[in-house]
Amino acid sequence: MDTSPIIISMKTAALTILITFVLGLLAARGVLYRKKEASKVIWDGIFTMPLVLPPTVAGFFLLYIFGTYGPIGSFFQNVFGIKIAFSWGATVLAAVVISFPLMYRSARGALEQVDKDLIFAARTLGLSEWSIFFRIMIPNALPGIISGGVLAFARGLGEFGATAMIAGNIPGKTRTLPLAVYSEVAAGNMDEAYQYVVVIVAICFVMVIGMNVYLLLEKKKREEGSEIL
Amino acid sequence: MNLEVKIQKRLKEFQLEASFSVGNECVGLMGPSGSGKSMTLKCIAGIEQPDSGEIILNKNPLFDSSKKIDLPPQKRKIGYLFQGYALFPNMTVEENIQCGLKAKKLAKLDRARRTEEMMEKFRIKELAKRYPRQLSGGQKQRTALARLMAYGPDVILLDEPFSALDEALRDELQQELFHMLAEYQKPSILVSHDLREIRRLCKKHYTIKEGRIQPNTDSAQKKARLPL
Repeated sequence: MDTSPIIISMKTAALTILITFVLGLLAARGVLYRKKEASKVIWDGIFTMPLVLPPTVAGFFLLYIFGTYGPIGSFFQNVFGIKIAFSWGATVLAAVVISFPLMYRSARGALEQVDKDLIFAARTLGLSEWSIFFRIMIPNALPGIISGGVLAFARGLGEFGATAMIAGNIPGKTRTLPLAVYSEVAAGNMDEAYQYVVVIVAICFVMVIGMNVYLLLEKKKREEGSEIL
Repeated sequence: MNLEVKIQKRLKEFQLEASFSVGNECVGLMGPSGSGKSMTLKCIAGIEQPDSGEIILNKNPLFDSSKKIDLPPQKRKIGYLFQGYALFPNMTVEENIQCGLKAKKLAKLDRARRTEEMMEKFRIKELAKRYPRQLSGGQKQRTALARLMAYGPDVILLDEPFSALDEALRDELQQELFHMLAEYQKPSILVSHDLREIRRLCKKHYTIKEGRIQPNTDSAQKKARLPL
């Protein structure tokens, strides 16, 4: 079995989640702080688009913007001599864009659940808005934020459509696990495909179980604490 | 110190029109739930914005709609005791108290000293490492008061401070709060729907009904407070 798709996928998913996690949280904060309802609705719509669009359509837009002749693609090409499309970086780009809405929506939901009085109290105690975000909001919304992170990670790992569009399917370079499964099946190598499938299923299963165990422990911790009295 | 409040705010059911002033004393704000008492406090603290009017503390405007002044709560130095106390669940008692001191940029040593001092004063020193979920109602209130006093506020706002406590505890904590306010010597406002509670803690009170402060006809006000 060629192990390069596994390595490429793990590297892509790892870098993707780091970027998605931060961007998703910041986007959630940004939308929550919008004062006007209309602006909230519009930003939320924009940030959710990649989730509802077919991944190939999202990939089409990425190709349009980051492709060699696209506005950002040609800028990088001319100024830095870096080609974005069909590079390993493009697999990360595709996975970030597609997994971002899951992180953003989970984080927003979790942050919205934080008791408003806690935020008000923090303000009257002089805490700046950023320190309220890091010291009050994130810690008290952590289970929801972590679940969002896990879902986004899994989505990034499984990304196929947009990756195929912007990064292609170059063996040893941009061929991730989902693309490898597709390519092997297309070539009639069912045994090879089967091995990749097992790897993906194992990773995803372990992650979801891990997330559930974490959430359970978190819940227990809260319940136990209140039993002391 | 003197706090002057003169605000208007359109609420769902009625128009809030609060106009009163508070010297170095505790003033009660009495009224049924949903009468606009809490909203008045929130406007003073800067958590909510009035539509118009002014809030002036010692000649410094905290809010003035005609001059477009609206200080954020962070710059008002107003201590707010929330109905449910709003202790931060992710922090211990000690960390809760230190929280506001960190924002004040006090040196680490001063922060620790001030926290110790407050925990001693409110008799919660042995609870320093506990989380809010491990505290009883009374302990929560003491922690919230310690946190607020540590910050050194210019005004204290108390929003139904005893509603989350059972009867037996109320008397004791009312007594404690009475002594704390007597020592404080700066403006404070107590919001409650319970007239007895207000009479025990405040020399003076206003009644608020559907957003309007009623002219005061309560003759009992001139009498001494109920013996504690």
